[in-house]
Amino acid sequence: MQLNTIDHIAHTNRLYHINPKLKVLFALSMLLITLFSKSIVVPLIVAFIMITLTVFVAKVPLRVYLPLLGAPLGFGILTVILMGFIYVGGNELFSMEVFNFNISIYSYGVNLGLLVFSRMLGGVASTLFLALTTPMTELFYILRGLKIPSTILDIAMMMYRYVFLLLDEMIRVMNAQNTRLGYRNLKTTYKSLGTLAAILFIRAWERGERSFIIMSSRGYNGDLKLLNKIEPPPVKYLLLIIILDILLITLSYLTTDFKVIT
Amino acid sequence: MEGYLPPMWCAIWYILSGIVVGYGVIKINKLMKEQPEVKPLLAVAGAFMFILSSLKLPSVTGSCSHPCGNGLGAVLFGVPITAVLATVVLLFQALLLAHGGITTLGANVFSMGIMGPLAGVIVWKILKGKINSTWVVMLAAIVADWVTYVTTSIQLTLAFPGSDPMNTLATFMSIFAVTQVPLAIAEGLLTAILWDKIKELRPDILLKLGLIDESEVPHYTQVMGTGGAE
Repeated sequence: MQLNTIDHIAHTNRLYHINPKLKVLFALSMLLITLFSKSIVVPLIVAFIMITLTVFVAKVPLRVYLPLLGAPLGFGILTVILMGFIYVGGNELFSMEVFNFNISIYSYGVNLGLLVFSRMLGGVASTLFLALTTPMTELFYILRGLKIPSTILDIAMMMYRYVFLLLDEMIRVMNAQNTRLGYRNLKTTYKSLGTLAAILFIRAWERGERSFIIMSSRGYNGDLKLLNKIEPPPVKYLLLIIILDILLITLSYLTTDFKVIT
Repeated sequence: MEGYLPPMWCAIWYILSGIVVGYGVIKINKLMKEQPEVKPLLAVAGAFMFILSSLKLPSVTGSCSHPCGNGLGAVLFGVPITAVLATVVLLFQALLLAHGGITTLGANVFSMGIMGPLAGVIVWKILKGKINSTWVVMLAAIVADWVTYVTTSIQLTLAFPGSDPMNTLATFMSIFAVTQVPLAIAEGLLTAILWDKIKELRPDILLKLGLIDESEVPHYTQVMGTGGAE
């Protein structure tokens, strides 16, 4: 299951011991630079940096990484084609007659499609870097430090725990259904899936009720207490990140007018 | 998808969603004072939504189709609380499954966590008590799904209007329609089966939330009356 692999890698990769605040700051700043850039140059550089870091420094196995990156890549190619058709403007690059319909691709649309594609690649690579190198639990500490309402955080933290418990439950029920001739054809698949969802809902609900009793017996009064703290990141690396950010921002400013096809 | 929307629209959807989510948080805090067990219950409900939505089929247009999450959530907890749960679910999807994204979180919460559930709740409120609740839930889930994707199309069009916005909107909608119309119906069926099972096995949950009338589960209330229920 994809969920298990990403969480597992986040706990075992080579960048696991790096200060999580540093990783969050790095990934988010790259994400924002990608988002605000007006040409494809900087997003592609960001994508390159992030993919290199994730694959060669954090040593995330390629067989896990490629499918994760591949899905947005495929979607991105579709976007380029689609936008080429939808958006009219600039030079006509290509045109053909299909049953009296004139179908043309314009340079404005292709450029827009490529820009969106590069932004997506940079953005997805940055988010994947964060997802694959930083465990969720450490992100909770950081979010708490950012004064996110504790209600959301408490729910998120408990949810993180329950997700894995429910996943185990789901796999067990699915196996049981398979051994009892579930999922054989369309009709039984629907019946099995519906039953699976209902059983999961009921089990989840009962677990929630039980957890409340358990938590109450340990002095729960509506707030979860966290004791750990995350050290502030070392200044040296912080400066490096800032320098890289400034470099990329300058570069994106210089390449604003860059176009692939005129 | 990450990086798809221009920064201005990311910010606008973040702000709009933020308002509703903020209201949801206030609502949960209020509920907490009366019933302290809501927090763990909402957490498991969110985990349930997450697990269901990870069973999803990717559609050609990039935004993936989520079974079951929002329509059912809205019927069970109302729109603001569903928005809070959807926010956390979508954040987890970005970080645990690499679906969706951080920059597009606001837009996704707005379409899947607010507009879809809102439509679902409206259907539920109109039809509740008039026909069997299973049918109502099915319709609510279908409508919630459709409205979610209509909202997504509008969001995409607003971000990239092109020369003729109406034409662009029609294109996006027709692309979504190919995948979403059948998927929404499939999701409605699934939700109906799920609802039926819960009604059969644990109707007390639905009774407690005030979602169904006791007359719908005569067998259960009768057994409870004689004190022989498990």
